[in-house]
Parts: sequence; structure tokens; C-alpha cells
Amino acid sequence: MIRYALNRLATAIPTLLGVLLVTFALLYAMPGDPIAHLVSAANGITPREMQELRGRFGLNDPMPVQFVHYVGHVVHGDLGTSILSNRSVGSLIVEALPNTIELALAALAISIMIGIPLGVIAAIRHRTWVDHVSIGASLLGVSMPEFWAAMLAILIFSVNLQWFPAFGADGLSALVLPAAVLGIRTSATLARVTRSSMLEVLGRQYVTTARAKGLSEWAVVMLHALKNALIPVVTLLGLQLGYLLAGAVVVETIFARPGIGSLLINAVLNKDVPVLRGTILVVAVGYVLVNLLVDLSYGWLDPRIRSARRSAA
Amino acid sequence: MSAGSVAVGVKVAPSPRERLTSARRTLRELLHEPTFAIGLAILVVLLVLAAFGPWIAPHDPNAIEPTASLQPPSLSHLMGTDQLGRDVFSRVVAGTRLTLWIAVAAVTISTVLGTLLGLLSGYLGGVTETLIMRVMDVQLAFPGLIFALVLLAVLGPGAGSVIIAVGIGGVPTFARVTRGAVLALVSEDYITAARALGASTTRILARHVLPNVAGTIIVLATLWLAFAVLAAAALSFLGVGVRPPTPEWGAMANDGRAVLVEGWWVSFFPSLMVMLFVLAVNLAGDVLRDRLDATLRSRRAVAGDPEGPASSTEQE
Amino acid sequence: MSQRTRDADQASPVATGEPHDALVEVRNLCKVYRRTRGRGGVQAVTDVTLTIGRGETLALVGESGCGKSTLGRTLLQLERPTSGSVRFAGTELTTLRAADLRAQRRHMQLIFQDPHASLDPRMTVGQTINEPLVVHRFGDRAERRRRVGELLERVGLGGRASGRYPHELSGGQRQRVGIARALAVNPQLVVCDEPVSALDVSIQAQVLNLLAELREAFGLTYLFISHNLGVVRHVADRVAVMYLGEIVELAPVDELFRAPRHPYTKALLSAIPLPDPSIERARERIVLTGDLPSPAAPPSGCRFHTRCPFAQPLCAREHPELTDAGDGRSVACHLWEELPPR
Repeated sequence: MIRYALNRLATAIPTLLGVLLVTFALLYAMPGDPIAHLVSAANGITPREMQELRGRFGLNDPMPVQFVHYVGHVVHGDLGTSILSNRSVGSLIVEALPNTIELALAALAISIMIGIPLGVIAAIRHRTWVDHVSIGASLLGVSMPEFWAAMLAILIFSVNLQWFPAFGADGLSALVLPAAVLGIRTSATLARVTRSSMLEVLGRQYVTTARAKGLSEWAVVMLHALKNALIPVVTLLGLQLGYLLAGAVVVETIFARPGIGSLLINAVLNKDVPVLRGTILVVAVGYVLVNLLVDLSYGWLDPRIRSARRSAA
Repeated sequence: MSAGSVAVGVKVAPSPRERLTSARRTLRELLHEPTFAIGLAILVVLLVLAAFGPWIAPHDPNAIEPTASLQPPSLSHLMGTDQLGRDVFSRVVAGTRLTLWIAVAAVTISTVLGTLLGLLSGYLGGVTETLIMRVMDVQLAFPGLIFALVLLAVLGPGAGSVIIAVGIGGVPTFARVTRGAVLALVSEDYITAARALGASTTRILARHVLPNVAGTIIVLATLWLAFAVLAAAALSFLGVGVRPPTPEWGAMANDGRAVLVEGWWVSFFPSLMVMLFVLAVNLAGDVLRDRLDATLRSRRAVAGDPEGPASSTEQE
Repeated sequence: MSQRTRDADQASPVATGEPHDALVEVRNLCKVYRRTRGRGGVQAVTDVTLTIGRGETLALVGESGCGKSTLGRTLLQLERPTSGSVRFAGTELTTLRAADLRAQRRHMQLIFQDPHASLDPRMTVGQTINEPLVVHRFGDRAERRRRVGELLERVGLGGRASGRYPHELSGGQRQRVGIARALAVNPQLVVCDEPVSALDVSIQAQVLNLLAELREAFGLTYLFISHNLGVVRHVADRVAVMYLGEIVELAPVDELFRAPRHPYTKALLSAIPLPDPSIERARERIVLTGDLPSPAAPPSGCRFHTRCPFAQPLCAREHPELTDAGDGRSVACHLWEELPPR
């Protein structure tokens, strides 16, 4: 297990380094002069002022030096200043992040509460109408574009039924619709995976043995099948986080929720490069770390990995 | 054992016609699956719309008519009109061509680049593999849509940019899947046999490895069409992809956002089309994938028996 | 067979009783598989030195896991040797550049144990046999097609098999395809890695006969790898016995079967059942105790000492080298002279 953990860590480090490299290089990849991406009023200044600014921002140093400085800044939490609002990128992110985390967790919670039971029931009632309906619903859920689901939700639940607000982030009621919409695809995917995982496990020999021992149907399901069926599901959860972060962009935009997603899209539309760089850096690092955690917990869950000397990588 | 005596037991080689009928049989079997048939039917309809759009659309997709603004669906305007008076149905039909084109082009990029990287990393191993996989890891650290967003920020809006962004976004998945498939067969004897013959690496990859992983890749490409369409539509919806007035389903849905309450049809129908396309691809793709699994499994079952199916008529 | 007696007459004993006209010379060949993590490795082939003469059939026998397949593949450079040298018709293979090695491969081919796995399931029989012709630029398309037909006839399959796929053939037929493929570009050496082990007994004889026939017709040299001593007796001129990656005995086939010198060889031979039940019952068998040690941790001194019924303290201390035992034989055992001949 330790070996496995160390191995996963060793893989994560070059990835993080690569992420830093990418966000660093983004400054130069954007069309236009890098200075224009760092300073808001960069149009209409004299060439000499431009030169002085370049020096101040270290843009005349050799690339490797610049990279080291960049990493240094990042490690100290300095992600630059937004061109648009003149506020520090760090503070913008700190403000936006809780909203998005709240949204993502709520969506995850909803998907788990809907998706997993749906999958389990479909597996137990295999080949009955329950199963078919569940498959159909999952298929629809996975095929539906988020923006459509969001607009339909607003139309039906906000405008017509007036149950929930369509905009903003005040309080729990404003969380319901966005979280539900964001959670649709994940619920559908979870339901599918849980169902097939359960079906596979239910057919296996140790389950037959449990049944033979005379345990009630419920006990068989709960004790033996579910625990093992959940292993692939846990892996999936880590992957879904990436989807949730991406989906948050659309959902936050439609529901006018402040968050990392809307921060990001505004940065792209307005070419606010510091915010863009800082945001994707935070998102990528966060994603890598969460996946690492998921991998480690996966290693702990699956006893074959826990005791094996070889890494699963 | 002299030359002519032992053709007994070896059946006559299949004529080209026989081989064609076996492919036709596979297709027929697939069509018997209701889900596959429905999916394929929808896709065919969409293809027809894309190909013959200009002849099918009753109105000019770009014709602005302020007096006819925001009319609900009717006989003359099957899907209503938008705030500029344009016929939504015509625009949807026109958008079919663009959306399909973007999706197919993007998936092609992902498939070609991803498969190449997967082949190289899976077969060559060593530093090559590590390098390629690390780069893929870095790309995957940026969740899908977000990666595409960044690329679009660099490339600027437009259909071409969307194709590149979504196309490159799919490369790591294809690379990983291909690499996995390659690893599964790299230790097979027939690969060693090819090496023993003196075949070059290129030849082995092209003639032996690729054909045997092609099935997996085709299935992935089919299912990936769904992601590509959703991604392209979402990006255009957000305003960073295809920009109005070009008719593209995601961009059209965005146009309708402002008039969501008064004119729900402006967003509804383009989004519905997206869903239909994705649904069709998923339906057909799922069946294809199940079938491929079954084929792989049955071929392995035949392989496991050293005397094979012809042993009963064997007269060696 | 006339071939064998001819060899025995001509062979002037070089250090380890090798024939003169050497096609393949292996010197101190080692193959170690390193562990990906941690120390140590599996010593699959250790310090093997042998020579294969032109036109002879050298058999390589031993239990599963003794490294004979690895030796065959390493010899052909399909696995890169950890150390040692392999000379083929005078050319050193281990230092060849990739392109030169590939060109060299037309002279040395391999027949696999598993007839199904060795054929690409997506290629027809014709395409499979055609491939070596294409790789080594044999003639034009028409000439190649003719050659494929010829080869198919030669191995007893008939030209119509050309359009079939491997899964449509039986094991014996697939193996014939493998043989045809190996012969396509007229190799001098053919390494047969357990060519009949995966086949039904009735088919084995036919394939073995085919191999023998082809050897006569084309003057082939075989390295015949097998764990089945009964088969080996019929096809081989000389036999090398392997244990845990090392050659422990090397002898002309008749000599080996008449008077095995190494304790391991004696045990192997005593395990072959004899057809006559009364003799069989009366025989004294040498039964080995213990399990096969792991190649990752071979015993000290003589690797066989842990299971050898004649083991002495010396055997655990010192590693016996292959020494000349006269009559074109060599043995790697400290006690070979003292042991009874059978």
C-alpha cells in the first residue's frame, strides 16, 4: 500500500509541473503582446513606458528564469491582478471557489442519492419494466445538453411553478435547480455503472454461496454485492469531478451564479488573461489532487491492491 | 505426404461474394437490434437534413423579418420564429450541416492523433511511452470543457477553432484506450512472429497491431461523437465557439436565452436537435460496443481450443 | 538415421564435443529479466555455450520454466541478451544494427508452440505466408503468389487454403501454416519451440514427419526445443539438457539415452514410461524430491543439488562447469565419473 501510494504521488508531481508549465506558457500563447495581458491600460502608452513595464514584469529575462519566478509567485499565492477589475486574482478565486464547491458537492450528493439506488434497483429487478425505464432514463440523462436542461428547469420550476429562483446564489433554494441540473448527467452515469457493476457481482460465485447459506435477499445484496460493486463506482466519482467542474461553467452562466465557472468564462470573453491563468491553475491543481485522493482511497478499498507489492498503475 | 493428396478437410476458400454476404449479415443482425435501428434511423434523417438542407428548408435561414418576430410554432413556421423574425426550422436545418461537420471533423482529429500516440506508446514502451503518457496526463488535468475553453481563448472564436479545440481535447482518451488495446496484444505470439520475420516496426504497427485494435477504436470514435457534439454546442452556447449569425445549434440556443419566457421555441428546438443527435449516437454506439465485446469473447473461445472447429472433418 | 552416424564420424571433439561446421555459435549467453521494482532478477538463461552444426538437429530439453524457450528466443535476438555472444554463420548478431538484424532474419526462423496465437487472426493463410516474402523483397507479386502456393503444397495443405482464416483451421493445419511461413524465404536455421506440444498425439506424428521431410529436402538446421524426451529421441542428432537456465548435459542422442551421465538426465529418462508393462514395473525409477527452485533465487553451487539424490557437500559449494566427457559429450556435474552409467 505504501508503495502504491508513493507511486501515485510520484506520478502526480510531473503532472503538476506540467500544469504549471502550461499556465505559464499561456501568457505567450495568447494572441497579442504579453504586456497587454498583464496590465489593463496597456493601449496608448509610449514604447518607453512599455519597455519599462516589461522590465518590471520580468518579461525580458530568459524563459527558465521567468518560469522559476512564476512558480515562486504561485507558491506564495500571488496569481497576478485582474485586468478588468484590478483586484488580485487570488481574492477573486477565493471569493468564487466556495460557491462552486457548494454547487459541485450538492450535485454530487444528488447524483449519489438518485443514481446509485436507481442502479441497484435496476440490477435487482433485472429485465423487468423497472430496469428498462431506468436504462431509458439514464440514456436520456446522458444525452441531454446541460444548457437545455437548465433552461427547461428555469421555465418549468422558476417561471411557471415559481418554486425556486432562477438566478443568484442566495441560500439553499437558489442551489436546488443548478445542483439538480448539474447532477443529471452524473446521476445517469452512476446509475448505469452501478447497474452493470451490480449485475456482474450478483452473478459471481461468492454471492451464490451467500445465497446458499440462506441469507435473505436483502442481506445478500447489502453485505456482499454492494460493497464490491461500489469499487468501480468510486473510481468513477473522481472522473465525474472533472465533468462537474466543466459543467459548472455552463450552469453558473445560465443561473447567473458567481463561481469559478462564470469567473472563467468572463475571463475568456474579456481576454482577462491573469484571471484565466490563475483560475485554470487552481482548477487543474485541485483536480489532480482530488484524483490522487480518489486513487489512494481506491487502493485502500480494493484489498488486492492493499496487500499486493506491485502498483496498480 | 505428397502434394495433392491432402486437400481433404480443408474447405474451399470463400469467394468474394461469400465475404460480402458475411458483412451484410453482420449489418442485418445489428439492424435487428431495435436500439441500433432507431439510432441509425435518426442519424440517417440528420444526414439527409445536412446534405439536402438548402432544398428542405422552407425559408432562408438568414432572412430577417422584424414583423414576424417571435411567432409560436405554426404551419408556416414549424418551429416558430426568433426575435429577428427568422424561421427557426430553416435555421435548425441549416445548422445540421455545420454541427455534424464540426462533430465529425473533431472526432477525426482525436482519432487520428490519439490512435497514433496510443500505438507508439503502447508498442514502443520505455521513454516514448512515459513521455507521451505524461503529456496526456497534463492535458487531462484540465477538465474537458475547460481545456477547450483555454484553447479557444488562444485561437479565437469560429467553427475551425471549435474543431481544433474539441479535437485536441479528445486525444488523451483515444491515446489511452489505444495504448490499452495495444498492450493487450503486444505479447501475442503473432507479433513476435512478425518480428521474427524481420518486419519493421512500422509494418508491424500498420499491418498487425492497428487492424486488431481497430474495432475498439471505432467504437470509441462512435461514442465520442456524442461528447464532441455536446462540447461544441456548449462552447457555442457560451459564446466562445461559433458566433451568430451563423446557424449552429448551440449558438441558436444561446440566442433564445434572452427570450426564454416569451419565445421558448427559439432555444427549445435547437437544443432538442442536439439531444436527438447525441441520443442516436449513444443508441447505435452502445449496441456496437456490446457486439464488439461479444465478438472478442467468442473469438477467444474458438482460439482456446487447439484443434479448432474444423477438427471433426479433419482428415489429415 | 544416416545423418546421425555421419555426424558422429566427422565430429572431432572440440572442447565440448562440438561439430566442425558450425552454423550457430553461442558463447556465454545470459538473459536476466530484471524486476521492475526492487532488486534481483530472474536468471532465465545463465552462461550457455553451445554450437549448432550445419544440417544437424540439436534438441534442447528440460522441464517447464528451465529457460529453453527463452534460450531459443534470445539466440534469435527476439529478446535482447543480457550478455554473451551469438554468431550466425560467422556474423555476430548481438552487435548488429536494427536494420541489419532484420535483414539477417531471413536466415533464421521460428516455429511457435501455440499454433493459434502465432497466426494473426485478421490475416488469411495466404497473407501470413506471403508476409516474409514481402518483407524480404522476394520477386514480384506473381512470383510470390506462386511461392505461397508451392509452400502450401509442400506442407500438405493445398493451394485452396490460401484464402482461409486461422480460426477456420484445426490446430494441426495452423501449425503447418506456421511451418510454411517459416520456410518461405529459405532460412538455414529453424528454431522449433515445442512445435507439437499443443497438438493431439495423432497429429503430432504427422507434423514431426513433415519437419523431418523438410529437413531432408532443404538441408535445414533445427534447434528443437521440447520437454518431451520421447519425441526428441526420434528427431534429434544431439541433445542438450537444461536445468534452471543452464546446460547440464550435452550428448549425441543415442549416447544420451543409452548412458545418461548427469543425475537430472537420469531422472528425466527414468520418467519416460516404457511400453512393456513387465519391464516398466521392474524398473527402478529415480524420483526427484522437492520442488523446482525459483529461477529468481537459484541454489548455490550446483543448481541441481537440492533435488539430486547423489548430492555431496561439494555440490552445494562449487558450481560445476560443463566438462568434456569423451565421445562428443559434456556434463556439468562434479560426480559424473563416479556415478553408475544408467
